[in-house]
Amino acid sequence: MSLTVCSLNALAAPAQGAARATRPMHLTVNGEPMELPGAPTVGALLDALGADRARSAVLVGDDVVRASAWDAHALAEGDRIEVVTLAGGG
Amino acid sequence: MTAPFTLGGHEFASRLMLGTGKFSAAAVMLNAVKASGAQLVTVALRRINRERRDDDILGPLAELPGITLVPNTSGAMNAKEAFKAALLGRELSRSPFVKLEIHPNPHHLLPDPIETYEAARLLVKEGFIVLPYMQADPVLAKRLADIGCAAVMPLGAAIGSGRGLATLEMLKYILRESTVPVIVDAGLRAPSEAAAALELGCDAVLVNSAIAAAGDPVAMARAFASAVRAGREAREAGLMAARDAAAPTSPLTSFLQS
Amino acid sequence: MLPDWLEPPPEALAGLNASEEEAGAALACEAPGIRQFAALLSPRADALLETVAQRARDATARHFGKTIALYAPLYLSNLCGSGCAYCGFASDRRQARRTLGAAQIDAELDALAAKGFEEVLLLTGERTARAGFDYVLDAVARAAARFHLVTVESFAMTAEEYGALARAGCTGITLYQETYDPEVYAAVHRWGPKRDYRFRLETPARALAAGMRTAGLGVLLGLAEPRRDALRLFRHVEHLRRRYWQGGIAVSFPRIRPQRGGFTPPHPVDEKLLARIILAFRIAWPDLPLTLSTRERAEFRDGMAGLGISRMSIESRTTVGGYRGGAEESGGQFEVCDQRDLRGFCAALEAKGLQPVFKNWDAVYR
Repeated sequence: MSLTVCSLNALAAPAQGAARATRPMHLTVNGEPMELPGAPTVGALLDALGADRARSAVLVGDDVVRASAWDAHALAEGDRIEVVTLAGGG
Repeated sequence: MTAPFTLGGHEFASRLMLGTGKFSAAAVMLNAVKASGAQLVTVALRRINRERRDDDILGPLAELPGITLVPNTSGAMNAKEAFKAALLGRELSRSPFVKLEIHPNPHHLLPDPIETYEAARLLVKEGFIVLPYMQADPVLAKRLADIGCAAVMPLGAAIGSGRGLATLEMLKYILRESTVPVIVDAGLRAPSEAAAALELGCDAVLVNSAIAAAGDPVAMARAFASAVRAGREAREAGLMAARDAAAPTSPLTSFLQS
Repeated sequence: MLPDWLEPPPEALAGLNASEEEAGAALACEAPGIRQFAALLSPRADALLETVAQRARDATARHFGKTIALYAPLYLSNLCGSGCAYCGFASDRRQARRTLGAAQIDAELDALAAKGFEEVLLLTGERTARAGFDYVLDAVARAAARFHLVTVESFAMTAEEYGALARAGCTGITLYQETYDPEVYAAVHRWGPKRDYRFRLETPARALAAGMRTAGLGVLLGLAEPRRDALRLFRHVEHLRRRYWQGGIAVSFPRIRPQRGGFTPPHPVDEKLLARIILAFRIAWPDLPLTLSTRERAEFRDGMAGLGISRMSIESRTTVGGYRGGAEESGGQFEVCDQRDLRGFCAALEAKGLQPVFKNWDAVYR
C-alpha cells in the first residue's frame, strides 16, 4: 500500500481568512499523515477524501462524530481520525 | 415450522447466520445471502479507500428484505479498540447488534478472553445487543452471560480451519448451563456439522468460510440452510437413543427390599 | 402460582408412565434430560433396574471416583414453634426440649472432631427466641474453628443473614422444600413461618446469592406423590445450576420413617422406588453430589454407596446433645436406622472397594 501524503491546498477554495489558511493543519487520517488548510471540519475532510457520506462513519480521537455534526465539528491540530465504511466480514 | 430463535428480544425464523467476508465477488456474496435465508448477517468495518471507490455492500444488503446487519469488531486488538469499532459499526448499520471479536493473534485468530470480557461489559452498558465470539469455555460462557451478553458464540474450531465441532465436549457443558442462546461460530466446514450443532441443542450457527470458499457458494448456502433446518427439526422432534447391549455383571440391586 | 421454571414439561409428566421400551431408550440416551429422567421413574423401569444400576454406578465412579464423602450431623436445638405434621420436633409433639449452650456445643464439636470428621452439619428447628439467628451464627463460628466444612440445616433466613453466616465460615445450607406439591405443603405445614411455600422455595437461591458455596435440596419422600415431587426437584436443581453456576447443588433423599408421635406417610415409598429415584438422579446429573442419611438401614446404605450415592452421614444422633453420651437425652427428629459406628461403617465401605473421605476442600484462601 502506498503512503499518500496529501496536500490539499490546491483543492481548497480561495481562503477567506487568507492569513491563517497559509498554515496547514496536521492530522492523522486512517493512520496516515494528512494536511488540510484553514480551519477544517469533519465534513470538509470527508469531501477532501472523496468519501461517500451515506456510507461513512467517523471517529475523532476516541469519540464517534455523528453524521449530523460533521459540518459543524471543527478539527484540531494533531487530531487522529478514522473514516470507515462497511465491508464483507464474518 | 420450528420454534423461532429469539436474540436480544428480536425474533428470527432462520437459525443460520452468515458472514460476508472472503467471497470472490460482492454479487456472489449477495446471492449466497439470499440462498441461505439468513436474517442475521455479519459485516466488518474497513477504513475507506482513497484510491478507488469501495464496493458498496451495505446498499444491496440493506435492500434485501428481512436482513439485520450485525457489525463485527474484527481488527480490534483490545477492549478499547473493540468498543470504538462497535460505536462506528452502529453508526453505519443502525443495528443494535454487535458481534464482539477480539483476536490479537493474526495467525490462528483465536479470541482473547480477557479483552473480550472487558469489552462486553462496556458494550452492554452502552446498550448494545452483544454477541461475543469466544473459546468454547464453559466458565467464560457463564461470565459473559452474567454481565448481560445476549448470546454466547463459542467456536467449533479455529476461524477458517474447517475442523467442524472440535470443541464438542465443551459445547455440551456450555449448553447444559446456559441461560442465553448458544451460537456456534467458526470452524464449520460441512452442512452435516451445522446439523449436528443444532441437534445437540445449539440455538444457531454462524457460517462464513465454508460457504465463501465452497466450489459453488450459492449452492452451499442452500445446503447449509437445509442442514440447519433439519438439525433444528431433529432437536425438536427428540432423537431416539443409541443403544448399547447391556453387559451382564453380578447383580447390584439384590439388596433391595420390596 | 408456581414459577414456570419449576413446572416439568408435559412430556416429562407423560414419561412417568413410560413403557419398558421407552425406559430402555431413556437409559441408553447419551445426555438424558427431564424426559429420560421421568421414564426412569416409571414403574416399568423396574424390569431394567439392574442395567440402570450399572449405568449409575459407572457414572458415579467416573465423577466421584471410588470414594464416599462422610459428614456428621449435630443437633443444636429441638425447640420449634412450627407445626410440621411429619416432624418429631413439631411444637405439638410431646418431647423433652433442649438447646445446647456454648460450652456444650464446643464439647460436642470436639467429640466429633476427635472421631475424625472434617464436615459437620448443624441442625435446629424453626426460629425461636432462644435458638434464633444469633444462636446459629455463634454455633457456626465455633464449628468453623474446628471443621473444614460447616453446613447448616435450619430455618429459612434472609439474604443478609446468609451473608453473615457465610462470612462466619458457613460453607453451605441444606434446606428441603419437603414437598413441591402446594396443596400437600399447605396441609402438612399447619402453622409457623414454614407455611410460606414461595419464601422457602426461593431460599436456596437466596443463600447462594449471599455467598454460600453449596445448597442441598430434597423432598421428604412419602408426603406427596413421590415421582411428581422428584420431577419438580429436578427442575429446581436445573434452575439453580443455570442461575448460580458457581454454587454447588446437592440432593438428599430423606424418606419418612416412623417416629414417636407417629406420622403415617400418605404416599409410602419402598426401597425399590427410592433406589429408582436416586439412580435416575445420578444418570441425569452425573456430577451432582447425592446424599443418603442414616434414616435408611445398613444394607440399603451399603448397597447404594457408590451406586449413585456419593455422600453419607454416619453415627448420627438425631437427639440434641447425643455425642458425649450425656445422661439427659431429648426426643429425636427421626429414628436412626443405621446404628453402626464410624469405624464399622468405614470398614463396610472399604470392603466394597470404596474409600471414606472426610475432607475434600479446604478454605485456605478465605
